[in-house]
Parts: sequence; C-alpha cells; structure tokens
Amino acid sequence: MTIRPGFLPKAILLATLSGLGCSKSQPGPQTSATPAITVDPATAGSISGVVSFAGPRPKTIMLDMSQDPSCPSKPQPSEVFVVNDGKLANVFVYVKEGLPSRRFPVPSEPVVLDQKGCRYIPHMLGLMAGQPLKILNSDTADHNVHNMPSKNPQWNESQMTGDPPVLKTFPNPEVMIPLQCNQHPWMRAYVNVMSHPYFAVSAADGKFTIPNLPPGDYTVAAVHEKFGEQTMKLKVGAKAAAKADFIFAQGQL
Amino acid sequence: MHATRRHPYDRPKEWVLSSSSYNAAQHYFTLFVAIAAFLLLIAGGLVTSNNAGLAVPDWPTSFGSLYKLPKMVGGVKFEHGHRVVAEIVGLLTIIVAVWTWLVDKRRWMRGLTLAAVAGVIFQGGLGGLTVLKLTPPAISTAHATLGQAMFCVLAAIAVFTSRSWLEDPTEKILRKDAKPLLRHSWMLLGFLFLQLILGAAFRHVWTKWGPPGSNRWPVHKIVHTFLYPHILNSLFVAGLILYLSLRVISKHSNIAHLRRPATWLLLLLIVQLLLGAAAYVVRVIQGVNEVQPTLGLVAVTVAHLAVGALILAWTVVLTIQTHRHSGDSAEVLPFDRRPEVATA
Repeated sequence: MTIRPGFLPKAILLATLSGLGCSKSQPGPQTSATPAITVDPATAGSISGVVSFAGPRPKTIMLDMSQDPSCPSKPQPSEVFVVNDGKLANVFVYVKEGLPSRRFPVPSEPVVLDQKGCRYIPHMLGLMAGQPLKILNSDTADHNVHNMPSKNPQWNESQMTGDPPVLKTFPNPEVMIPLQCNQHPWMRAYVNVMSHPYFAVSAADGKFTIPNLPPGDYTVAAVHEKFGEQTMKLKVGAKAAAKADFIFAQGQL
Repeated sequence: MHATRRHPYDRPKEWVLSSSSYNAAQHYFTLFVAIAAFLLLIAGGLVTSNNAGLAVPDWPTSFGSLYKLPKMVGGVKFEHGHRVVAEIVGLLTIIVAVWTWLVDKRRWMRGLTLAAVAGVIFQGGLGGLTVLKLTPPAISTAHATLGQAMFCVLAAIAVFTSRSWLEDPTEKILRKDAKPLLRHSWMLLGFLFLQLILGAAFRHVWTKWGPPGSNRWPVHKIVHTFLYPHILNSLFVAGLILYLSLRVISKHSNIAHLRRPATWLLLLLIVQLLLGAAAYVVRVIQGVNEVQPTLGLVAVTVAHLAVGALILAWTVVLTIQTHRHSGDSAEVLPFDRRPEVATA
C-alpha cells in the first residue's frame, strides 16, 4: 500500500488557484478636454440643510486604544454615531446629478487630514479629483495610512512620528473611500472624491451648506458610513437658497 | 535461473530495517518543528483577526530594516511577530532537511523534507506578495491554505521519523477492512481542504472587502459566497469524521496508532462545531457593527482556525497510519520498503 502521490501538491495548487481575483490597479487620472465652467455669482444659489437622526440616540461606541502606549489610555468615543440633540454629524452631502457636464477648476491647495490622538481628523472629508490630500502625523505614535478604493489606486504608506506630510491625489471620482491604519485598527476616515466642488460634511449640529451653485434641478445625496445613502431632488433658483433636510433612522442600520 | 521474487517477511528483520533506523533526537526535533509550525498558524491567524496584515507596509524588510526590531505595539506586534516566527520555522525546516539528508537513508523521506523546504520558501513568498499587493484575498487565501498544508507535511515528517513507523506494525487491518477507511479518509482530506479554502476565503474577503475593510462587498454577498458553502461543507466533514472515528474506535481500537487520531478527531470535531457557531456570532452578527476587533472575535476566530488545522493534521496522520496498517498480515509493507521488495 502506498500513499497516493501528488495529493498534497494538487491540493495546494487548488488552493492557490481558488477563484478569487486580485484587486486590480485602477485606471489613471481622469482628463477632460472640455473647458472649465465658471459660475456667475450674480445668479448662483446654494443648498443648505440639516441632517437629523430619528429615534433614540444610538449608544456611543467606545474605542479601546490601550494596545499602543502612545495612544490615549482611556476609552475614547468613536466617530461612527455622532448625534447631538437629534442632529447627525459626519454625513457627506453632495450633488449627485444635474450639474452641467463641464470641467470644474480643481483647487491647488490641499485638503488636510491629521492623525491626532490616534484618530483621523476629520473623520469624513471631501475633495476634488486631482486635488492634493495632505496627511499629517501630529501623534507620538507611528501610523500607516492605507486607502481602500475601488476606482482609484490603492496605497499603504508608513508615517512615523515626526515624518513629513504624505501627499496623495485621487484621480477618479469615488464616494466613501475608507482610510485605515492597520497599526491601530479603530482608526478610520472616509475620503470622498468629487468631479465638482459641490459637497459638504454635516457639522456637529447636523448643518451643512453647499454654496455657489448654478441654478438648476439637482439630485442631492447624503451618505453616512453606517446608514448608507439617501437622495433628494430639488430645484435651485437664481440667488436662492434651496433647503435639503435629511433624516436618518436607527432602522436603517 | 530467474531470480524468484521473495516476500520481505521471508528475510531477516534486521535486513528490512537497515534502510533507516530510529533516531530519537531527529524525531523529537521534527515534532518540535511541527509544533512551531502550528504556533506559526496561530500567529498568522492573529494577524488577520486583528486586521494587521498591512501594519508593516514593506517586505522582506520591516520598516526598511531586515534585522532591527520595530516598536512592537498595535498591529505591528502581530505582523512583525508573525514574520519572526515564520523566519524561525523556515530555518528549522531547513535544519530538518539537512538532518534528514545526514542520517536518513530513505530517498522519499529526503525528497519530502526538500519539498517541505521548497514549500516553506514558497509560503514566505506568498506572505510577501500579500503585503506588497495589499492583501488581495486570492493570495491571502492561498497563503493561509498553504500554511496549513505545510503544517501537515511537517506533522507527517514527525510521524515518519517515529520509532513506531520504523518498526513493523504489530497489528494489521485486513485489506478489505482497510479499504473503506482509506477511501473515506482521503475523501475527508479533500473535504477538509475545501473547508479550509472556503474558511480562509471568507476571512480574507470579509477583512478586505467587508465591513472592516473597504465595505465594497455587501455582508450577505460574502456570507452567501463563502460562509454558507463553508457551513454546508462542514456537514460532509462532520459526517466523514463521525464515520471514520466510530468505525476505527468500534472495529480497530486495538491499534493505538489509529485509535488515537480517531479519538482526537471526534473530540476536536465537537470543539470545532462549537467554535464555528461562536465565530458566526462574533464575526457576522456582532462583527458587522464593531469598529475594532474585539478580544472575543480574535480569540474565537483564531481558535477556530487552530482547531481546524489540528483536525486536518490528525486526518493526515490517520490516513497514513491506515495505509501503514492495512493489508493481510503477510502483505503489510510500509511503503518505504517497496523498492527493496521489488529488487529482492
């Protein structure tokens, strides 16, 4: 009797070839030959509103950062559910449809993301495709910054305490790209890359404003990391301030 | 005159055993290496469960250095710790191969230890690719699967160097009785590997594309694609373990080398089913809304992985011991002596 030869190699090969695709690198920067749009300040309107939370205030999730002595030793509140007096913070609001298919000028000044107290500040941010993201480390802890996009290049950068800022750009529009530190798995931020400048993040009081918008009919979306996305159709008149209030609820979780 | 083909049992026992003799130090060292490989699996499980796979962004260096120990805090202690244990196991496997080549005359055994070295090196490369390619689930799953396969190879080497393996079996199973045991133990190995691949794929897809990662795959899609097949396959695995264990315990309990793995398989199956249910609760039901890996999640999922590896290893041991003990009394041959029989 002999052990059937070749079983283990076949099993290993099977494991290696198991049908999962590797994540692929994403296409390169989006370019457009269309001319940049200019908004007439005499007619520009705005969208503003409040993001509310219906129902009892969700329990604040506490983060345990004790595995790194350079991080706060006491439990810290997570940024996932920031609800104050029924108003929900950290909701990304943006114009999803209705904008003219023209190119919007990309700001050259970077959007800053800091690592402070072993968390990302801000937790939710937006920037335009091609606009630099400047990542700082103000901590005494070492970090790595790892993005997990589906339409942009993926990267993982180590950033020790005292290291110079890391500059990154996202060539393609994409909503809710998670940023994570694998040294501190509670650290998470969301980057929203837009092809236009019409976006905002709800503040601690739930309020947001999207200014300088050309008059027109728009679909506005509000995205929360746990509650998902809501959309609303509205009309922005010349020099008018359109209202867009969103209500998220516990049942959506 | 044609040479008549003699049966080995016609020959003096000393002659038969001359191809290899028991070396206690070698055997216990291979056993130690197999245990170290098991600890390496646990270290690897800790990396995935703590979502620390990319805590050290470079490879083969760690933060630019091959020898400097980084600050062992946060995810770095899991990822760099896994690398250190892996390097030790790689070195130990090379020592096993060199030792085997020095003291063991069995050619297939020498080949097996060389294959183990090649496998360990390939496994290290897969681990590096996992880091450099930012944990693609296909590569991470292959890394997890090959890791357990290598653990089984090292466990088998420990069995092949044991005193009992080098001596003739005192008890045998008639070929007709061994046949169903062999058929089902090979089937079990196949189902276990499938189970391992599905479990590893679930862990890595969940961590990469599920809630703790990019959140690009809805939870139900990951569960339907990998977890439900894993649960379904566990029924086949459980059925085969029950069949094999109960058959061995009821019919061949006089053979300790079969009774021991069969008993372990039965006990580990119970533990593994409980751990699997607990892992479902902490990973899928509670884990969806967790903002960081909890101690419960890490403990249960790593224990589930470790017990799974032990089940696989004991199945390998049961399978090779069944081969070893099968055949009519005059036919029983350890397979390392076949060439000698043919040329006798």
